[in-house]
Amino acid sequence: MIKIEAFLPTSVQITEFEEQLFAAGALTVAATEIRVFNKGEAKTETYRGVERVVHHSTQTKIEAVAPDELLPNISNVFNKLSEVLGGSDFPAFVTNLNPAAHS
Amino acid sequence: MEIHKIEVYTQQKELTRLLGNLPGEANLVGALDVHFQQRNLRSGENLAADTRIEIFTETDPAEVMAQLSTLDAVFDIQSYPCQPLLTDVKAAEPTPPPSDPAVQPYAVQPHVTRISAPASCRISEVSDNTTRITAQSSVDSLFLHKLFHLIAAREMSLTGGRKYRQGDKDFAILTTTAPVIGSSQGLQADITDILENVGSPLHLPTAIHVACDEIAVRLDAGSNLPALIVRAAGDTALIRQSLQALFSRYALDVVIARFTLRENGIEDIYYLKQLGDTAVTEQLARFFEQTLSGGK
Repeated sequence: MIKIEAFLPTSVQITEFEEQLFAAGALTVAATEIRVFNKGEAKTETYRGVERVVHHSTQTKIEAVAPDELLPNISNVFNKLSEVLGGSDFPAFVTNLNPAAHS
Repeated sequence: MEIHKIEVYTQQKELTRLLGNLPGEANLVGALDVHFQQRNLRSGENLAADTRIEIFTETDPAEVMAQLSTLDAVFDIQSYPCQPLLTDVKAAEPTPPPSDPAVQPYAVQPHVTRISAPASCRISEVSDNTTRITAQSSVDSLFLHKLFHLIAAREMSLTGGRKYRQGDKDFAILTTTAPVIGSSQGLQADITDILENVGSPLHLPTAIHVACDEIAVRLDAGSNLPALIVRAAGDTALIRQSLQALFSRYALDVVIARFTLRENGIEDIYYLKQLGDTAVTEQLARFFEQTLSGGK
């Protein structure tokens, strides 16, 4: 089994994306809101009239678990999303969940 | 390139201090809210964390963990090896689905890449949820494959239309639902862009999906060009995209096509021209049927 963790812009419609992952063979898909800290990057926003500096951006983290052999199919779904997002890359990582991989 | 994911359980109030103490360069640092409790076996005291920090880094994890574990604010720390997915995306060829017959009776034909040529696309709204796509380009055996790929990527559903060839140009008039992802303007630009690269298979998916609940492929050899009549139920966008991937794989050029939506399925007709060694035969029709149905 493999686990794919990807950090997507909040503009991505998660429900449709989850369905695509399931269609590609994902067994479970979880979505969480996550604050991502970009080194050196900060933006100023106004909250209730008070300006404050924010060092993080809010993103959606997707965790999908799938059988090893379906990695190319799952990768294609992420690749397709990257194309839809105008070719922009987003951080995504694969972890091998098989016990032998960690020994 | 190996990356390590390090999970650190801490408290929200300690977040700033902890982030300031991160050793090395991290690829990504994220924090999310959790409910985490741990019982200290020595003191019997319960420790509660409300935040998990996830660090993806190429730095030696032992070094990062050694440094972070000295901090009071760190309740628990774990590390896992992982790899960037985008490397896999570039390196990996899509795996044929399990249903793809192990022995393929036809040789896969290589694509011929040609130069770019003018193409155009116009998208108009017919009604609230109905869009018409009118596209043309120089003759291109991947013309429909490109269009169906972009339509599927935006989760649009093709409700009808036709494709034809006049002289040295390919034309398509398609009726679809409105794009779920992205805008019509974006789609128009993408279609023009992809059609201008005549013959180029760049970014086109080659995977054949088993998306049919039922399928029947019939050969009509009565006209000048042999035709495949495809009746299928299931995920219509995926069926059409997979069909185009099969045509591309076996170097079959769709000269004329008509697309119709019937209840929960499609009834399409494709007039095919043989570009390689694969002839349009009854045997090929059965092979396509079997491939798309996963041998059901």
